Amino acid sequence: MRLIIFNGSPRGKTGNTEVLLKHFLKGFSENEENSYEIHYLISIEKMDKLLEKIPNNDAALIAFPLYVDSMPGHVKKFIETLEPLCGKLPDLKLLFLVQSGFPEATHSKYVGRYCKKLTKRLGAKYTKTIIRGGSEGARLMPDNFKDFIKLQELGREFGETGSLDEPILNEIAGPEKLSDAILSKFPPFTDEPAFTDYWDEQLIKNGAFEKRFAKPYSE
Amino acid sequence: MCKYYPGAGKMPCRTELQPSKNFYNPNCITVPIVEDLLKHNKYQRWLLAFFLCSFLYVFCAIFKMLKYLFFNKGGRTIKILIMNGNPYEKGNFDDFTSELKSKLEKDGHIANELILRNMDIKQCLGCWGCWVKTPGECLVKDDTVNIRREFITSDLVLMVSPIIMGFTSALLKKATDKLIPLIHPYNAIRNNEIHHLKRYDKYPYLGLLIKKSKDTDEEDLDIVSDIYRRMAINMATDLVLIKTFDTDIDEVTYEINNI
Repeated sequence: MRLIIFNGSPRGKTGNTEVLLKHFLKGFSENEENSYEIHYLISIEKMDKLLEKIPNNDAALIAFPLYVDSMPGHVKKFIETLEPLCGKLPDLKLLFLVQSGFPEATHSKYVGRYCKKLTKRLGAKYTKTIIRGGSEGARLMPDNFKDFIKLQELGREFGETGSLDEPILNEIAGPEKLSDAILSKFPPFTDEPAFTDYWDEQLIKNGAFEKRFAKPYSE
Repeated sequence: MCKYYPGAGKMPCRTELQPSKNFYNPNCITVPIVEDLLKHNKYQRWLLAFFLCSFLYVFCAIFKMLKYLFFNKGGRTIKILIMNGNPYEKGNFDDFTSELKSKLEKDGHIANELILRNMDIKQCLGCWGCWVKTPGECLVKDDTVNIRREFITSDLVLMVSPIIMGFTSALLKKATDKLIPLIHPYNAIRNNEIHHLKRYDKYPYLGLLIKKSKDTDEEDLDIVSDIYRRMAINMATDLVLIKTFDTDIDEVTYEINNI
């Protein structure tokens, strides 16, 4: 199977999306007949040149981080350039990977609906969307992290059968909503900060901790 | 039939019909009252209730109309930002936004339109500089400084865009990505979900105005409005207006006046 991958992370090769893709592709390449190529959308000026490459593949994977509840601007730009291909890709399997820093899967489900509709619009075969929450720290995780192993499993399965396994997808996605037990650990009033350690560490490192509540645009 | 005389006290006094006396008395007013009309009616109580209700309804309608006439016009002024996300130079898209802008100004609002395609907007790189290096401000200098300042000082932001491939334009999305310096990296619980903490005390209401393309269907509109609703939750505000360009501009301004 030939797979073409579009990595839509603005951080390119150094992002969390790349880490998740790496593990998926590790499983995918276990079958020696499979091959893939990756394109980094952030560093491509003329996106229409990618169009002619797509029909030569059996499957395409568009991966991106969640930016303000949907795809980043330049990924939307790429999707707009796909317009001439509408209805011309009946045999192409199209799959997506959406990752976000939020721990719940709910945040990414909405753009997941868009991905499904986009596949229908292009006339391709929808092969599901891999949703992964809580990914901000993915770069810092060891290779034997359990979700990475599951991603490899998912990639292996896709490389062999050409489909994504629903139960594994659900495990990777994590909880739809946070349970009451977890919610009860947060401050009782809304808009009280939680999970501050991760950010405080970086703020202190940059000497910006004192200015963390700055309001540069308020009159 | 009974008679009412404008009496000396607050309540009129009620007397029996006395033709000989009334015939010459110009102060006497003959008033048929509801009670008399219903005197022998089996359902008089219900009819009475019905009359009362309709009276109340008419009264409310008149009150509402008077209120609109005297208090609404030019009374409440809000600051409105129109984010024009149309990427195309040609076409009549911009006529809609400029007409909307002038009508809003006529209604006494302060309206400002930013034509995003004429601005220098760089893609957000997710560097988190605006969260951990220069809190509240983007490290990359471009025209989005203006967008953020206008956004946070407005009461209502209208995001206007054509639908391209089932979603608002990449241009509008690129500008929206650059709004994250306005929120805080810390997390907070909102709607029983994890979102971002507010950086400012007050955020503008959001409105979505979209122009359908040939292939846009109901499902597309659902997906777009749901995503913008989510966006509003993350921006600690509400999506108060969703309209397509098929809507009459007066209807849009009417709804804005009533937010």
